[in-house]
Amino acid sequence: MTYAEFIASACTQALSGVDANVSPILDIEMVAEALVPTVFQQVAARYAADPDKRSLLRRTHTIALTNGIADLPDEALSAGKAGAIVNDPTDVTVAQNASMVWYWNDFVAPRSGLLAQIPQWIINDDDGLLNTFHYLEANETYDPSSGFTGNLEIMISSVPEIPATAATTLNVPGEALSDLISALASALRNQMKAVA
Amino acid sequence: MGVPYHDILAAVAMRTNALNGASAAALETTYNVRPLTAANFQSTIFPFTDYRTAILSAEQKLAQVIAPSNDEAMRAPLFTQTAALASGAVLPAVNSAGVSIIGHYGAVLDGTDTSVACTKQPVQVIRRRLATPAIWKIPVYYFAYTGNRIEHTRTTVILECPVYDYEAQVTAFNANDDMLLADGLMEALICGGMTMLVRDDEWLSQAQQFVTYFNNTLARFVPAEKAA
Repeated sequence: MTYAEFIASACTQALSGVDANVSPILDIEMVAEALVPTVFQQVAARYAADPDKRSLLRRTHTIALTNGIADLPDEALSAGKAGAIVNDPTDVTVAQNASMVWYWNDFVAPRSGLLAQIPQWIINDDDGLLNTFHYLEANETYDPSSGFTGNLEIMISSVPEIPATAATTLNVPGEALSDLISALASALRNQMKAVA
Repeated sequence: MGVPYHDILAAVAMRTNALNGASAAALETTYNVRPLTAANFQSTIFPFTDYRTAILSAEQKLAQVIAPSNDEAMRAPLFTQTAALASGAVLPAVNSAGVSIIGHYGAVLDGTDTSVACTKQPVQVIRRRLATPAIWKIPVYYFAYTGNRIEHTRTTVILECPVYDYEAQVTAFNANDDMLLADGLMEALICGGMTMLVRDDEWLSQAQQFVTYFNNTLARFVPAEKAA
């Protein structure tokens, strides 16, 4: 479904059960388009919070680390970090296993034994925003001034990408597409509730 | 099927005793001549060309009443289009051929695809759209009248507009083309022509009678609400 078709479907769905001749939401494409970022965020957050649906909106992002630190892209949902997968794209010879660490104290603490042999990562709020990715390679001890430099891939629940043009196809699974249309229609009818 | 102008001319001329014919048969023959010319006319009060002036003046009057009315079917023969207008352009007084517009504009059409009609939106919505073009991907077809200008969200728009081109109608009349307006207004055109054919007190009482008939027709066209 193209972006134009998506908007048209949502606008039409919003009119269900109303008299189009007198509806105030008849000529509403511009409002619909303005609501898309919010609606996509809300639906993605709902999916990220549902273990059964979390995988539907996962996308792989390439992040560039310098001294073990990188900014996550804006569309990555920190709420989905529990199910995220991190890979080193240059190492395809072994099964990769990087562990997410919940707490900063655990991340910076010295490691030993089997725990030290596994790369680990954490999403932290270095700048007040929960979007900074920290990474330790296997057997690496935390040092704020040095660390892994290079690209990693993180597959994490993400806000669906807003298409670049009206003719661009939405890159979401069908199950999510119907939810997105329905959510936008509800927003147009002022019925969408914010997810905390 | 249309009504040729000279059918109306014959009817008007007949009622002012202008056609040649000393007998009923001769009068019948003259009445059916097409096209009629000055040679078929004997009136010393109204020259042949004045009949054209009278009939087309009535047609003009009808067009001026029909153009702003809400009778879309009757307005159809009058409608043409303006030139393409960019957003912020002054509303035109003439159509794309330079003919004067005589009534309310009709639909506002997308200048690129004239099969798409634009819809009216508050000028604030259009202003917001025009001020932030980079963030919008879905095309919208909005317009607003602001004073004597039009604002819109397309590259250009074209306005439907009613016109009356007198010179073109003279040419059509001379060629005995079909009348411009709907066939059902033939009687009105005859009556309207008759109202003009007064000279001093010649044919005055007759003209007064036809004024009543003509005004009754004019009164049936209700002005449409002008778009705000």
